Amino acid sequence: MQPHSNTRTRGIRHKRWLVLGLGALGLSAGAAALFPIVSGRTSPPETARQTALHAYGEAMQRGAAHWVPESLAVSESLLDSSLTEYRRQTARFLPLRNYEECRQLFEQAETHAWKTAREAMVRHESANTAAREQLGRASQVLALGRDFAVLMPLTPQERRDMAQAQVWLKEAEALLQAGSLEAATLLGARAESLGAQVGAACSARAGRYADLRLLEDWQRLSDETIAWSRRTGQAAIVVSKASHTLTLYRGGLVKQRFAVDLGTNSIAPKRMSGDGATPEGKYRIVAKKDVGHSIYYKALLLDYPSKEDLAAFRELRRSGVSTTGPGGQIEIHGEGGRRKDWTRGCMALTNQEMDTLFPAVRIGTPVVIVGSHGEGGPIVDLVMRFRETVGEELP
Amino acid sequence: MLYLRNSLILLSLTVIALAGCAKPPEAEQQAAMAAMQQATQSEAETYAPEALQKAKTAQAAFEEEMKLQEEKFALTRKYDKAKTLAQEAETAAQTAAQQAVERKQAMRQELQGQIETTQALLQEVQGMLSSAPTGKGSTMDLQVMGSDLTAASTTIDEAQALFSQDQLTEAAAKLQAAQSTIESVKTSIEQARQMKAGARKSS
Repeated sequence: MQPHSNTRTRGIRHKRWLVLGLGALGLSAGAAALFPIVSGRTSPPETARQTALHAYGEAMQRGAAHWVPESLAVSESLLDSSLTEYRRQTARFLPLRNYEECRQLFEQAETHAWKTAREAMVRHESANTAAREQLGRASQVLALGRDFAVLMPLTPQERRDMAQAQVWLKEAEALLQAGSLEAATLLGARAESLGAQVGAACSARAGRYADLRLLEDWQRLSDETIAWSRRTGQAAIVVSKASHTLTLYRGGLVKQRFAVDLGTNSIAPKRMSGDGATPEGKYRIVAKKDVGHSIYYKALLLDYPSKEDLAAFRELRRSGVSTTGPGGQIEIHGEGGRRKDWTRGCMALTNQEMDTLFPAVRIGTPVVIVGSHGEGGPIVDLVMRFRETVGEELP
Repeated sequence: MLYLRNSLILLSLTVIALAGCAKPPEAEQQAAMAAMQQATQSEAETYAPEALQKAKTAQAAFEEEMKLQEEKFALTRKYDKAKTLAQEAETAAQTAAQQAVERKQAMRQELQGQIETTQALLQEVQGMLSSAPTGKGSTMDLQVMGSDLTAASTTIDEAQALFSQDQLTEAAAKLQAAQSTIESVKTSIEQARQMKAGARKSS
């Protein structure tokens, strides 16, 4: 009985150890399995995933696909990698899941997506600013073009170009409002370029008021006339087209100065009938038309065309220009004061000013009309403003 | 033995049931894709961008959920959420398509009316210009206004061409520019008339 009892006791002891061992093993396995769960490695990074997706959505909403496609591609790639890792981990047996890398990937994707969104916003903002600046420049140049059109005649082509440029500018403004920034910038640039082209042509034509040789000739003519007035004590008139002024001298001294409206083509010297230009040179009053004898209140008729004008006209005809004649009936008359050049070549004062001037002169009074005395004037000021705006070099 | 057989049958049935439940929502997916295609064809990108963005987000969520489920062990897949997301994407895409069609139609109608109004305005102002008093002092102004109206007329023609090509945004910008130009000419003529009338009264 004794040996059997010993064997039995040993067996029971062995079994106990086995149970204990298995229990310990089970506990260890349980702890090993629970540890990842308890440590949080197996919890899906939902917040990180959502914030990354949100950041990507923001980038898309801010037009990243249009403004920063390369950066968006990187963001997409990072997000794809994060989502792939997320799916890979989710598909695994729970205790084996580890979202640590996935969380980091989502964080990277989020950071990059926000960077992309910011870049898109900055690009959009700068495109918006560029478009507005472009339209501002175009608007400025076209305003100067309009001023040129007021002060001097434009050729039919120039008028068409100005009108086209204006319409383009308005169209560009509408596109800007609709959010088509690039199209607006492009059209604004076209409008500016066309306006600048017209302005440059006008500026070149008006540049004769700054021509030194012409300025010397004009100064000499004025000086001679004023000197004559000083010598004789008689009245003389000097008209400066650039400053739009008519000055009455007596005894070489300034007696009156009036603003004067000129011909529609005031910049050019008169060459032929219908050119709308006010002549330049030395003339005399040949007739005084009182009220009732002129449709423009009172008028002082000049002896245009002079010998020099006729010579210039013949030269013009020889060059092949078809014209009916050198023109005539150039007067200083009333109904002026409109502050624009509207006559066919005459010089217009207000009726009140004509009342002052009319009795102060007589038939034979010299009238010198010059382009400029180098004193500036609206057209010269405009040329300067234009050159400053478009960055044109001053001569 | 009977117990074992019953257990096997029950297990088989469970597997079949599970496999049956885990069918991907193909019909919903097809419907969502068709709706997205419809939205794109309806130019939702241009006319209903916000609604289209919502549809795209829903579609992306659906695709993501599908991928997630596909990577799981077959017996543990669940497509309920994917199905709901597909339906949401379909609804959102349908809304985007409908909105795009409505907005485009409204814009077409508005533009059609605007073209007619602008043409009528052009004719009216052309008439005003031709009957404007000509003479010394106004010739230049009339020429400038004439050029403006010519440019506006060309712009209306361009807008009409764009309209017929369905480029409505560009057509709208051109029409707006033409209208504004014609109106400014009209204002100038009216001002000139008033000034003339005022001058007559004072004289």
